[in-house]
Amino acid sequence: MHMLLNTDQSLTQRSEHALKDSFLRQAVQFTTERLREKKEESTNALGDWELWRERGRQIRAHTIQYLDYYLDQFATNVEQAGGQVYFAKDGVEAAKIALEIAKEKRAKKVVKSKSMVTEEVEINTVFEKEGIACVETDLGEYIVQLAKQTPSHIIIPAIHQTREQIAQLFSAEQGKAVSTDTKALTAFARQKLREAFAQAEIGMTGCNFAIAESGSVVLFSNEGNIRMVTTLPKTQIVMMGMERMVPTWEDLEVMANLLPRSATGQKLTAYMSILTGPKRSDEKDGPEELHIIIVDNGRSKQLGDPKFQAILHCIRCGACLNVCPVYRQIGGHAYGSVYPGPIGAVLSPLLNPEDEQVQELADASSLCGACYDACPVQIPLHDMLVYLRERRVKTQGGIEKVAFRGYSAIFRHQATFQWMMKTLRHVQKWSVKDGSRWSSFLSRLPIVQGWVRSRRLPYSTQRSFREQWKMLQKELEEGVDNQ
Amino acid sequence: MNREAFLLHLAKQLGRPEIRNPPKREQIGAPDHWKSFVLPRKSERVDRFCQEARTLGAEVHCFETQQQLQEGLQALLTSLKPQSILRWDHTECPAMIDSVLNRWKSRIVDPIADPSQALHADVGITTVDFAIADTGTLVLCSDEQKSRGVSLFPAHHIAIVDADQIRTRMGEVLAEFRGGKPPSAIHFITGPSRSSDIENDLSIGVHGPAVLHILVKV
Repeated sequence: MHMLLNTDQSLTQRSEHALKDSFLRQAVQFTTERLREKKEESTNALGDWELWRERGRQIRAHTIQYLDYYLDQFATNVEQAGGQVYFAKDGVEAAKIALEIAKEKRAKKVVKSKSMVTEEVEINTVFEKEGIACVETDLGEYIVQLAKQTPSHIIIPAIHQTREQIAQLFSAEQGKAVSTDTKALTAFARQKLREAFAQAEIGMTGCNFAIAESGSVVLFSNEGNIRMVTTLPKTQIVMMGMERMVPTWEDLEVMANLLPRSATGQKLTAYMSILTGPKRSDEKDGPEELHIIIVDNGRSKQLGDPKFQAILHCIRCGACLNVCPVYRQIGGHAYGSVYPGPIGAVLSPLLNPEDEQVQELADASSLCGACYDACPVQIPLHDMLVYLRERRVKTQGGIEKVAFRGYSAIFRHQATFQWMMKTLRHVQKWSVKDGSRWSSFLSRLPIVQGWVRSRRLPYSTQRSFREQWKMLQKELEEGVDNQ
Repeated sequence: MNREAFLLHLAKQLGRPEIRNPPKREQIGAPDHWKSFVLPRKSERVDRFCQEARTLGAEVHCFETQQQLQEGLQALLTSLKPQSILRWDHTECPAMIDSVLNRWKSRIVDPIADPSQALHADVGITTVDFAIADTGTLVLCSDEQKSRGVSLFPAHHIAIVDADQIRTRMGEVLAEFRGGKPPSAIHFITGPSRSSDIENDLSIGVHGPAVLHILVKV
């Protein structure tokens, strides 16, 4: 499935572009730092965070290991509660199912709450092609939609927009000036979107968690837009990645303790809604129909793969973005995929194995492992990044493959290794040194050029450890003799 | 794709036949220390609830008697001067609320007869099904008398809580729904509606109520 990639630019080019945007860099750094601090504060206050993380991992690992069972149980319970369930093998099928429902309802307008999987299947584009308007109702997503952009952070989508830019977008929408004051901007969105909520025939949401034993869909929000989307329109469509399951009500308590703290540092979001089936016949509000579309779209390829199955444990909190030294410098757009940050660098290549260009996202990491430490369900993202790089070199090969073959040949025997190191040291000593000499030559040399642009070459005039050891031993022996 | 084929594919990927019986589990739910976390005294639960709800910006008022709560509600409505009021019309909703609302009868909106006015109501009055001390949360279940919009559309949400409804942690409330058929919507409400989407600047009252008033009968 395609993921909104700016195919005309490489990761390096997109990163360079982002690095020149000083507002973006400042905003990303400010936001990530704030979220990081709040997360730390709230997890410290809870206490025993490692115990919670481990429990989170256990629940997610168990659920994914038996995903077919829990999905079956979930689907049965949804149907019993009066909802309809659909299974889609890819984004095209998922979008088609949603479109068919919308057409059957003769819908002209769909109000949406934030959902990563609908971005994956590009549902807005699909609906709009058929003349059905899709309105994003999360404030950040609404801003991004008006600006015709994509989200730059999965929790706070519009961090790259200044209040002046937002005021301009809103003023254009309103046909008269809206002030740059946060209150005025929020009030405008409240009033404008309320009209949309009332008009829309269809409300579309994602799903944070789905409880197998009751057939319930659980949604977290702070603004209340998800409650609007699931209260006013007559038809509700839930689109969910197939891995969103938890087995029981009790497991939800763990996720409700992990997700808000990891995402925004809140003990709990302002709203957590647990929805089971459509409204009952005698209820005054709520959707009359509930359709749940369960999407695979590349996820099942990770099942049974010991290296990558754990990527399906992800609860989409965004904590890994906030600690990533790469994300913090380049922001979300440079990744060019629906999922940015470390999770995106792993998930996007995995969901799109046939797309060669997406594979380079695994390079957007320093492999420091901060993402693993931040992950509330202990996904070893840094290991997966290494596996992905390995896989890419194996399949795409090139210079790197040849270089590593040579490297392994030389490293195999001590004598060749020592000889090679000695030779290289001498060559380096009389030529480029640490890169400060012959720099214009080096900057044109493939592989090396990327390194020397911002760094010195590793360079030592010292003897190797083995050589030093020999001399030391000699000294010691002589020392003993002297006494 | 049909359900059977979809699920069969997953089982195949997992390298085993499809499973018909519930898989064995060793760990279910929260860590043990958390499951045994219970504030034993009602007064402790009330205090913790009030403290947590206030931290998140809710206006919390406690009352010793029914009489005082009625007076408190009356005073609150007098100060808010609502032009339109939504309320839950369920039978449990104590008669005392109705006796207070008598004075405001003409301003009560019927959401079925006038949905657009309901959408822009000033005040929504509900009771709650449960409350959670640990997070300062209200739990509201929908049914034929307790509609979803009352706690959502108005700028002010007034929630009336009885101290006996306050549990220590979320797990105790979730356990209430095990087994039976859960309500079509259960809303956990913690503080007023909020967003930090514009330059990280906190803004209250985005789509939901801007002010959450909680009246607790101790």
